Amino acid sequence: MKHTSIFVTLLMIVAIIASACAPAAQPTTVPQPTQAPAKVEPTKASEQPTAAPALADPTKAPEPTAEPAMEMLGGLPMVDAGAVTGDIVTAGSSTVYPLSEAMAARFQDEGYTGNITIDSIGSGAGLERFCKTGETDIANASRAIKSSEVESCRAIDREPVEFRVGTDALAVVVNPENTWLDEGVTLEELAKIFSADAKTWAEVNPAWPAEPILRFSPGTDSGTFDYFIEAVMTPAYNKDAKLGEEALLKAENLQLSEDDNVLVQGVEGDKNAIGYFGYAYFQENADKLKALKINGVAPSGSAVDAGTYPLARPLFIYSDPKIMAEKPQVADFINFYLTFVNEEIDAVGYFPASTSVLNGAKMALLIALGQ
Amino acid sequence: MQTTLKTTAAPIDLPQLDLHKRRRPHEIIIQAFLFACGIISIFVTLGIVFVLFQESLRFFGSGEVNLIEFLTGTTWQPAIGEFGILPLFLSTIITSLIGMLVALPLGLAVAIYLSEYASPRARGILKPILEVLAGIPTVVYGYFALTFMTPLLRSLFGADTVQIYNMASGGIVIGILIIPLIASMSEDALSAVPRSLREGAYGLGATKLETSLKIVVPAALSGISAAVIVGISRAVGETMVVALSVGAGPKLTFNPFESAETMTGHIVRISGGDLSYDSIDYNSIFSIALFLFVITFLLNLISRFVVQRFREVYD
Amino acid sequence: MSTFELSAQPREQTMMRETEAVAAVAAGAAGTFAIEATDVNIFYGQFRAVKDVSLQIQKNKITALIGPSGCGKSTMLRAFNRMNDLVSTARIAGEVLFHGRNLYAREVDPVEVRRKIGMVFQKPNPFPKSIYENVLWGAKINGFKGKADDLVEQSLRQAALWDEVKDKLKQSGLSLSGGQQQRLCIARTIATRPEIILMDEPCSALDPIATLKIEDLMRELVEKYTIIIVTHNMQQAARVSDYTAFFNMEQDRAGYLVEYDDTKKIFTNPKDQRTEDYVTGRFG
Repeated sequence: MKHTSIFVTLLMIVAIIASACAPAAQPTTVPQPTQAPAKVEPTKASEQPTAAPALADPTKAPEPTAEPAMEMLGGLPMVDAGAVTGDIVTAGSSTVYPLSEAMAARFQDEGYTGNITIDSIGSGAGLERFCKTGETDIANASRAIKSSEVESCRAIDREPVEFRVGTDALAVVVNPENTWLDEGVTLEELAKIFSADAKTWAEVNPAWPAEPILRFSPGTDSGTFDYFIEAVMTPAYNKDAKLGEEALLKAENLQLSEDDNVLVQGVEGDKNAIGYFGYAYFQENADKLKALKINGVAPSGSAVDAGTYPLARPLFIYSDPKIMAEKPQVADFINFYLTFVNEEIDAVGYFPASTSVLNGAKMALLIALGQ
Repeated sequence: MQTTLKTTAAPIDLPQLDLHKRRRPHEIIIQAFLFACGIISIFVTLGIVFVLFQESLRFFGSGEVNLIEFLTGTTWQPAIGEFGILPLFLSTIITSLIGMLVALPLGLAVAIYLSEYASPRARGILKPILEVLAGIPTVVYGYFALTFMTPLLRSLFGADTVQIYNMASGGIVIGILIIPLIASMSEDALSAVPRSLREGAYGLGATKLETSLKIVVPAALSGISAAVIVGISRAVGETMVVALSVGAGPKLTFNPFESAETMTGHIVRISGGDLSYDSIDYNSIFSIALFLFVITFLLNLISRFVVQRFREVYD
Repeated sequence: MSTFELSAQPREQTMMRETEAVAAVAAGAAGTFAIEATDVNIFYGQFRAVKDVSLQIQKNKITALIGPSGCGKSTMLRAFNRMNDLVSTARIAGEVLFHGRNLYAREVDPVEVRRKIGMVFQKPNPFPKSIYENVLWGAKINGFKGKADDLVEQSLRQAALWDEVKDKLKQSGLSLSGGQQQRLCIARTIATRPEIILMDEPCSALDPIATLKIEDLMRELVEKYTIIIVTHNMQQAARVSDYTAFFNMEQDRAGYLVEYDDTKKIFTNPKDQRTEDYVTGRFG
């Protein structure tokens, strides 16, 4: 008797699985919009950064209409952190995370008594929480918001406002024992190293060892990954982002982790390893890792400032005017963030946004508050 | 003496015998409470199964993958629509196998020691240690694998052979993790072997070792097999250790010194907050979970079957 | 002097010496008793189970130990092949001589003792293995290298079980009836070629017919072996044994030997009043 019932259960499972494998009529995933809708936030101009998204890229400046308000900058009200109450919820990029955390810590040092949560879950997930589920007040992102995300935001009656808070240079790192890359790599070589087209180093360059390449990359939903695909892989694959992503993801010995420490440990642990992540993590582990020159330029403040380092990218936080109106603590925090970010950013390991860009962000805040 | 006399004389004064049913509300309440507890656990299980099936149906119903591809594909990379569970499955099998290779002999040795050899004092020391071992959070084991076992393996076999993230290290630590489980279940099985069998062996001039290995262990074999199967399901389901030490990229490889990713490791990495709720990537982890569930379910059925046979052995 | 060896040493060696040893014993070099216990006291922790027992067991005879429950007769029996060693709290004082050697001397290996002095238990306890393996197991661990089939057949025949099981040697020993199981246990004991067989209430779990079969068997076996049996059943002791030792216990439950004599004497004309009371059913 008992056995019969067991077999019945098994049969049921098999039946359900079998029925599941028949292709269903309605796909649940919505096809990606092939082109952005016509009406897009001005900030969308930064959606397709060029291979070298230099800091001073004028397209990243906020609304041109804000120009006459330049003198008003002094008008950004001083925040008395001690007087701010209420909680702030933020989530997003693991790259922006340490910066936001430093700012939050300083905000609390100066008297803020509420709770501020900062989840490090990747830019995509952070924007989803902000735009889809509306759980957060601020989204941290290491890439500009996509038009599809803007749409989701509008669907829940949120209007994302972008604040540029700094610049991250992506560090491509190898084990200190790696000697064959001392001269650095070109972007093309880098693309090949991270692609399925090369199993061993020698297949990229015969002068390099015939050892397997062990690749370490941030996870597929992180802004860092998206940026790498965009800035390194896509140009090498006929500017087709899909092909570029596929080439990377089909590569052997590829480790993908949201946890940058996993990547650091991985590269530190193997001389045939290569990885990439935000410059801050490299700086924290500079004694264990070696950062590569890209196209002959080593990642450094001056190179980023000069716009010569090819893998630099903007860091953003996003919020919404209504949230800032309803929760003044959010506006205060962003105000505080923009005012003092350049005092903290060096310590965190990123590069400050130029004054004009930062002023633009402050302007955007003023405008948002004025609404 | 007098009182006893009185009571023996008492029956005449007893109130009339009452055999009517009595209401005992507390009995009913407790019964209902216990019943509810049982029901809740059943519903929770059903709920989990329901969610697994529902989300998996969505995954298979998306049209992007069918069951054959799912079961036979050799690449798992959801971001580019590759959903072959083999690399994840193989890695799970390898880590579990390594784990069992460690846990089975050691766990059995501990069980034999505890059941056949240990003095009450030694038991009193060893059993709590085992319990502590069983109570350590698995994340600690994970870091143990990463920061102790991996360097150890690398120093033994060379850093060129052993990758920083590798299945061997995770597997060995899984083994250590389930030693207490194997040991305590096996010890129960060994202790359940009647003393008379041991005496029979000793009476024939058997040594302690001969008695333990040739009489007690074979007699407890079904119980030990059940322990092994439960151990396997535990190894297959173990998550934190593999997530931390085995690697973060699915890879179809038989080399235990290479990095790979197990089913559980992949689920925990992908569900780390980075996926859109309705994306196929997200649904795919439910299909893995369902696959895992089916495996552990089958293992449980087998272990029940084995345990049932176990009862018939020596009576 | 006997070269009989009980100390721990490789089995094969002991095995080889066995024939010489038996020959020596047959020559009467080691005295006339199979076992000689002198002033034996056995304790379980603080509790004294057996008090000041001295007892000489005759060779190739059946000696029955009888007495009320808890009088220490089983404990005494187990002292003859050091089975009490398996109880961690058990302690013994006094001497048990076997071939002139004290079984409890420091250098004596209990495993070797049990090889020479086998035991059959109250409840039949065949191993969960085949009948064939059950018989062979004890011999094998003792280094038996001869023809297994012959040993199995010979042992089963001696145990009067051969005809019943010869067609199902591969079946589990547990598939047999209780009486058959007990004879299987006797067969596996015989297969190790002991000198003495201890039987601890071997028929208490059996029906009367099976009991009679075992008793007949004992009478046959006693031609080759010395048998010591503990029994609750006085009729059994009267029927089967040559000598009977009557045990009783004191207020503190320490067992002691009351009377030891020819079975006939014990049951017809005991010297001690307590023995008479017991054998006539007045207590116990």
